[in-house]
Amino acid sequence: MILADMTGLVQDYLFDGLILVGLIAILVVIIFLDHLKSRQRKLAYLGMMVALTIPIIYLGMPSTPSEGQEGGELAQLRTEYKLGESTLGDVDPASSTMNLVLLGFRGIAASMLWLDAKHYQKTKDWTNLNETVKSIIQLQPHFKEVWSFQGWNLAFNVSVEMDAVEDRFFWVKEGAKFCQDGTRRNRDAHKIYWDVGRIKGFKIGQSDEWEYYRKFFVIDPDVERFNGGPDREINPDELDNYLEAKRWFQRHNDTDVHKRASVNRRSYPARAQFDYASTRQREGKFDETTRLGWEQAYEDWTQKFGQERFMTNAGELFLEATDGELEVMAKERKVDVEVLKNRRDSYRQTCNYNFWKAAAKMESRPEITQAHKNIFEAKHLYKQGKTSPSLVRPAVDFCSRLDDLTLTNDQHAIAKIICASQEPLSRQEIVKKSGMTSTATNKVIAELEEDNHVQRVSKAQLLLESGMLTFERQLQNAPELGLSGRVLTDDEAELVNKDRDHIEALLEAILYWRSIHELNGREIPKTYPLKSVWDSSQELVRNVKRQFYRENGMAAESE
Amino acid sequence: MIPNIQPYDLMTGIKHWATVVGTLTGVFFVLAVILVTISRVVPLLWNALLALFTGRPFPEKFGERLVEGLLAGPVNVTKGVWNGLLDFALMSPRRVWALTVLTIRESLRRKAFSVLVIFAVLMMFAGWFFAGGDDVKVYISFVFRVISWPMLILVLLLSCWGLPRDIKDRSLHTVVTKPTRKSEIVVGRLLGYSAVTTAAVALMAVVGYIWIVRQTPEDARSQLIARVPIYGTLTYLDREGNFAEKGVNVGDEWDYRGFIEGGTRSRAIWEFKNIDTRRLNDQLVIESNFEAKRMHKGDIGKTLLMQYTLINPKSGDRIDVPQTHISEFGENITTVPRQFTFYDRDTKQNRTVDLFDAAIADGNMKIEVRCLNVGQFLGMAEADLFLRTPNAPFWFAYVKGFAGTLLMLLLVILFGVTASCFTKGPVATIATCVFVLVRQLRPFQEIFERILNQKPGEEILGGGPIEATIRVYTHLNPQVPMHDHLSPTGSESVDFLIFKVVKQIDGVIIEGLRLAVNVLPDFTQFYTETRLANGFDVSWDTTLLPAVTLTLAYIIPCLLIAYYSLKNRELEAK
Repeated sequence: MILADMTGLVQDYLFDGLILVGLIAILVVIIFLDHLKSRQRKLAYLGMMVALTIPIIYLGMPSTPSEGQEGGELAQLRTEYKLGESTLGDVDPASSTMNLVLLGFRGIAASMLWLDAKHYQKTKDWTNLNETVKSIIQLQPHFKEVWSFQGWNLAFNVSVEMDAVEDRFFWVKEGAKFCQDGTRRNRDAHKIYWDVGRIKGFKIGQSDEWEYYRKFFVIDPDVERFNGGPDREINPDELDNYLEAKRWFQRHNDTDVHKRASVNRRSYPARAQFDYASTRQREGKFDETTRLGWEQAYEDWTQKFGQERFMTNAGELFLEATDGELEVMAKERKVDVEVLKNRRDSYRQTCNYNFWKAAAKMESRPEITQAHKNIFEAKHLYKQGKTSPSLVRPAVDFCSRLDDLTLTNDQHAIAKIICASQEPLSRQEIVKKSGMTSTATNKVIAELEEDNHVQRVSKAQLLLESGMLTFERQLQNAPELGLSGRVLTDDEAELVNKDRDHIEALLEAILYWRSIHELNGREIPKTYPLKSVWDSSQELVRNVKRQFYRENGMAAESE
Repeated sequence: MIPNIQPYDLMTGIKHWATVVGTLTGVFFVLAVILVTISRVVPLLWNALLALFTGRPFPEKFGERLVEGLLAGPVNVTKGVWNGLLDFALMSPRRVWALTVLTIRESLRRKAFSVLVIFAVLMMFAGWFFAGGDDVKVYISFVFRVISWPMLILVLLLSCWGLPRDIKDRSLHTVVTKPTRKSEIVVGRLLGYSAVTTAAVALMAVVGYIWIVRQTPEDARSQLIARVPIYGTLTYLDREGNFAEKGVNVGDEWDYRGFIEGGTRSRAIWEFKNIDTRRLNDQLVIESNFEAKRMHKGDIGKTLLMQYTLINPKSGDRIDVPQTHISEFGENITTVPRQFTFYDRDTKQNRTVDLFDAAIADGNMKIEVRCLNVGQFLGMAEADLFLRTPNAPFWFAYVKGFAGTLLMLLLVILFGVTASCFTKGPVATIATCVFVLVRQLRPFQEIFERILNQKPGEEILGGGPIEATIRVYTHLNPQVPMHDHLSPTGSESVDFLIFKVVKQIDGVIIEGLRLAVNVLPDFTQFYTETRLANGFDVSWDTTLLPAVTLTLAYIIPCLLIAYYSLKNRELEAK
């Protein structure tokens, strides 16, 4: 037993021992060298060189994985701990040469280059800035923060210095390309993958220039160079910017094997899918692709992100876990189920899990897509100034009470025409159907309107009301969104997680609808769809109004 | 940023040079006189004192020797100066030539041209670092760097190690034992090294030129131009239309450009003088490079709009040029034909004029620039607008660019040879490096800029070295006055006194630094490549003249220092 231990010990420390013995030998030889003659001394040096070279060659033998050779001890350790250039990422010969040529002055050179880069940025010398940044990276290819910082700097800071939107886009691309290079040189640096996703997702999709950037992402403004297609370096598969960003966020998750990133960060692939679908709606694209986008988002959120295992202090769990599943886990681990539930809920809270789940589910319904479309078209009509009430529709219950009311013959005839139609009719259509003169028809409509039997409305108002009504109905079924307007049960209330952007979108629709009433000199009705949202979110109304006035070129004073 | 756009004022330069050199010569003269006098008089006085107190014999002819000693300083130093001047005046061109040839041979023997191998290797692998970039700026800068950096090391080694090595090897004895003057040795070395350097630079420059032309991508070759600009002087009008010394500061850290506000009466006005209309080619080509600063998003899809108005300074006639969108950090070239039709705002109808008669009076013209977007700002510096004349040939500008680099190397040789005359090789190299680098390193640049730009009666932000040390130690912001926040003794009057003393000492140190800054050469004058890389011709009056003057300015002081050092050097010492 002792012998075995000893053997193990000897094996473990064999190399250290060898080196120690070697060093002592050298010391001894150096001490005695003075006593030797010139030739003897030279021979002694040669001997020492050979003696030292043998263990170095033995230990440092390079590995050739293709031929199944593991290489020397050092090569194996290098591979095991991923310390070799080639195990970290692609090797750049220029970078290695530069580091070699600098003979240990790399640090000084890098510091000088950083100062230069700062100077060039300050003096707006973009060409030299770009070159200097590339030189820095040649010297510090595995310093992850450099890639993150300079990529962000180019895409977010340098780009906005340009006046032409095409130039801005060029620098956003430069930032993205820079970070992409970073991932090639540092395959396991998950943070840089996320940085690429951030530029391709948020920078392109959410900055002031997003409408241009998103187009440019698919059709580069440098048409001559990219033949009317995208710059394939940043968009190889001609994808939407969010879908391309999603890939990079996913790569971030895949490389982050130890799950060092926060739960929020790990939700980004699914979040990019949400952004993809919602941005399509924002652009007025209400087709099946958009709806499927939401469906995919629901799938990504619940089946991929929701199933990811996170390590908590109560053990591993996943966000989509039901109470039943948690009870089973608690039994297996012999822990209190309440602790597990708390952990799960707190994780869900962190990433607004319930809200997004409910939102994705709701948004993937065709009727909600239609509601969005209606509101979008209404806004478009509003912006074109088409808000005058040109359509006539019956008041609530008017048609059912038609026979009980005392009306003139003309009034009755026109009321019947209005009630017979599924859709509100324009005056011209009523004139045509009634066979009366235009003046007579107008007079009758005015009489009916005065008695509150019919209402004159604009198309924009109708579309808005339809959209708002759909939302109100759907929100009833999604208590997690906290906008249902009804008193929630305790269980439901616990799940509520409001999202500001979502509420603001609804408030905006209401604001347009209210504005149409004001423009037509009508009072705002006491009840209307989504009134509960309007009443309960007054703190956000001010902000939405500001946005509304700006979008429609109105003076801010009218606030 | 293009430095030095206004012609170099030679007279002011000479005056400044004469002041600095005169002051320094005066200081050295006085110091030499004092030292010589002390060396003669002090021992005499000491002996006299000893005689008084110890009873030793009193020095003989004390009065006579004292007078002689007192006179020795001025007389000997003057004699030395005179001999030195005579030595230079009587230099033999034949001997200088012989020494020059000797230096060239020695340089060749020491394989000076091996620098060409480094150059060749760098040029061969340079392509690795240029992945399809289409900005010729980078290619031109690269060639200048790849030539000047190895050459700098070479000239440093040659000039700093040549003489000390000769002294060490005693090969200098074979020269000094012949009838040569010390001044000839110095001048001969200078000329020899200069000849070797010139030959090497010329050879590399030719290769560099071919490399630039071949390496530049096909579609970027049009950028290889040498624009010949005519610059004006810039003034501003503020938003009410009143004269303003500076443009608006929009919060940019770099205050190179001043901004004008769009949609107001704010204007930037360039005044051009002595325009030679024959150089204009029957048209007015205005090029500008303005910076946009948006205060609100505006129309994102369109760049800012601006308009030029040409003004005849004599008649006040105003000719509006059509509005254009700016192309920021790019080229904005507006060509106005000589026969030009424009809408006259006064008469409210179109008018056709001969520009050279209507806008230019006695060679003078003004160009007014306004920004047309309300609430947006347009930034400009003096170099941002100029008139274009036909381009100069690129190769010629390139040659002139290398003249700047060569002048820089010659100056380094001058410093190196001078330093090697009084110290050994390594020390001379370090001394020359310090002399060359100090004003070029960015951290020092900032300090020197502050010192040079300090106006009389104005304090430097953060104070001098002692105050700065106190501030660093006490974490005190440079903006806050020291006496407001620090109280080392607790007594207000004592603190005040301490701070005053600190400021006084700092003042002396800063004055010393100011003198040092004035003596240290400003090597940025040699950066002729900046112009070339930015597509400009390297003009004589703005770029080459300052470089030539700078080199010439150091020749006389350096030769004198070198001569006296070599003359007084113990050549037997290894």
